[in-house]
Amino acid sequence: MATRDEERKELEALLAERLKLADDPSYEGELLSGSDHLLLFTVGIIVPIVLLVIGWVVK
Amino acid sequence: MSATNGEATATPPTKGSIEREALHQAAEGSWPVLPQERNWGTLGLYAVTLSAGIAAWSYSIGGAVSWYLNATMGTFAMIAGALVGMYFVTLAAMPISVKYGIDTIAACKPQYGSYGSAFGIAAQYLSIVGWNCILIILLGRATANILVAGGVIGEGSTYIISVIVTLITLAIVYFMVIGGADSVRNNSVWIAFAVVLAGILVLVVLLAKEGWGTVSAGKPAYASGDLHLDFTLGFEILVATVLSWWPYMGGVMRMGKSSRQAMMPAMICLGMITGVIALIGLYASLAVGDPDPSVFFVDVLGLWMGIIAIAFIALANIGTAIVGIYASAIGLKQIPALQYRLSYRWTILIVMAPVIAVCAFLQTPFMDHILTFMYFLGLVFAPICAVQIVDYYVFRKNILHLPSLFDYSKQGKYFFWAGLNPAGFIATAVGFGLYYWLLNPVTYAQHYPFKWVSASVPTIIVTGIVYALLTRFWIIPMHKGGYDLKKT
Repeated sequence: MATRDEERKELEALLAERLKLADDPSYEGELLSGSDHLLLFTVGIIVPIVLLVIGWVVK
Repeated sequence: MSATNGEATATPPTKGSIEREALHQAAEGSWPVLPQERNWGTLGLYAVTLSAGIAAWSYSIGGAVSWYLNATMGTFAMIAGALVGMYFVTLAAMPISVKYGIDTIAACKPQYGSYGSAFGIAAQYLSIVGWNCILIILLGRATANILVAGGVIGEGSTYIISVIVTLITLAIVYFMVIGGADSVRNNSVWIAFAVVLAGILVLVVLLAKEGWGTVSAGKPAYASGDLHLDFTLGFEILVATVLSWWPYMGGVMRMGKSSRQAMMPAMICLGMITGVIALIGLYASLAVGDPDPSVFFVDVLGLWMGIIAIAFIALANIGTAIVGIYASAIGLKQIPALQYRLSYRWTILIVMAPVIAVCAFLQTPFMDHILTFMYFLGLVFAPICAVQIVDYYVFRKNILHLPSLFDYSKQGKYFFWAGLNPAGFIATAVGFGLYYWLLNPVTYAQHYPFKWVSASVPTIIVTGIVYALLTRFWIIPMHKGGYDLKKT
C-alpha cells in the first residue's frame, strides 16, 4: 500500500498533468451572453415580482 | 441539500482501497473537468438536476410556510422565493463552474483565499448536518406515528421509539457510507421517484378526502396578524432554503458544456422544483393543522397507505442522507490540513456526530426550531453569493487563474495574506450582521424594513457593496488576489 507521502506525490503529478491539459483556450466552457443574463433576470427576479403581486392581490 | 456528482469511481471495498478512493475522490473531485469529460447534454442536465432537486425535506419547508400563510398566498410566495434564491445561486456559482469545470468550493478561493475556501466547506458541512437531522428525525417520527396509529405502541412511547428508529437508521447510513463510492452512486433517480410518489399519494388522497375547499380554508397556525409581514416571512423561508444549493451547483453544472445549457435546468429543476414539492407540505399541513410532515403523512393517508408512503420516504431519506454525508466527507477531505491526516472512517464519524447527537438528545428542540435552521441558511449563503457575484463579474471580468485555484503556496494568486482574503471575510461578516438584524434566526424578531425588503435580498446587496469597496480601495492597491491578471 502506498504511503501518504507517495499518495500526495502521485496526486500532485496527476493534478499537474490535468492542469496542463486544461491550459487550452478551447478548454473553457461558454459564458452567459447578454440575452442569457436578461432571460435569467426575467425568470429569477421579474417573474417572482409578478407572482408576489398576484399573490398579494388574490390573497 | 443533496449532491449528485456522478463521477465516483468503482473500487473493491477493502479498507485500504476505500481510504485511497476517498483521498482520490476528495482531490480529483475538486480538479477541473476536461472538455471531453463534460458529456452531459441539455436533457442529461435536466434529468440530473431534477433528481437532485426533489428531496423529502421540501415537505418540511412547506410545513414551515404553513405557519404563516394560507394556501393561495403560500403558493405564490413559495414559487417566487424559490426562483429568487436560485437566481442568486445560479449567478454566483454556475458560470464559474461551467467555464472552468470546477466545483463550487474551488470556485470560492478567489473570494476567500486558498485556505479561506475551507469556510465554504464548513458552510456545506453545517447545512448538510442540518438537512440530515431533518430527514432522519422525520423518518423516526413518522415511523413512531405509524406504530401508534396501528396500536403497536402507546402514544407515550412515541418519542423513545422515534429516537431508536433514528439511531438505527444512522447506523445503517454509516455502514453504507463506509462502503465507499459504490454504495453512493446512482441513488438520485430512485430517491426522486420515491419522494414524488409519496408526495403525489398525499396530494391525491388529500384532495379526494378533504377537497381544495378545506385546504384553501386552512388557517396558518402562527400568523402574526400582519399579512404583509407573514407574506414576506413565507417568501424568505424559500429564498433562504434555496440559497443552500450553493455548495452543490458546481458539482452538477460543471458537467455541462455551456452556461446557457445549464441555466434553465438550475432555475427550474433545482430552484422552482423545491418550491413545487414544498407545496405538498403546505397544503397537507394546512388541511391537517399540523406542520410536521411525519404527522400529516399518517393523518392524511391513514394506516395502510401511510405505511406505504413511509416506506418510500424511508428509502428516499436514507438515500439522500447517504449522498449528503458522503459529499460532506469528501468536502472535509479537501481541507489540506485534514486531507492526509484524517482517515475516511473518522471523517464520516465527524460528519455524522452532530446528527447522532441531535437525533439522540435534541429531537424535539431541533424540530421546534426548524425555522431557525432555515433562516440560518439564508444568513450564511446570502453573503457568500454576494461576494462571489461581485468578485467574479465586477473585478475579475469572468477571468480566473486556473492553476492558482490549486496552488496553496504564497506564489498562488489567491493566497492573499496567509491564504485568507480579509475583504471576503469582513464583507461576509457584515452580511451576517445585517441578516441577523433584519430577521433574527433564533428569536424570529424582525426590524421594520424586513417586511418590505425581506432579509436575504438586502443582505446580498449590502454585502456586495462592502466587498466591492474593500476590494477596490484596499486589496487591489495592495496588489493582492491576482486582480491584475489581464495585465500580466
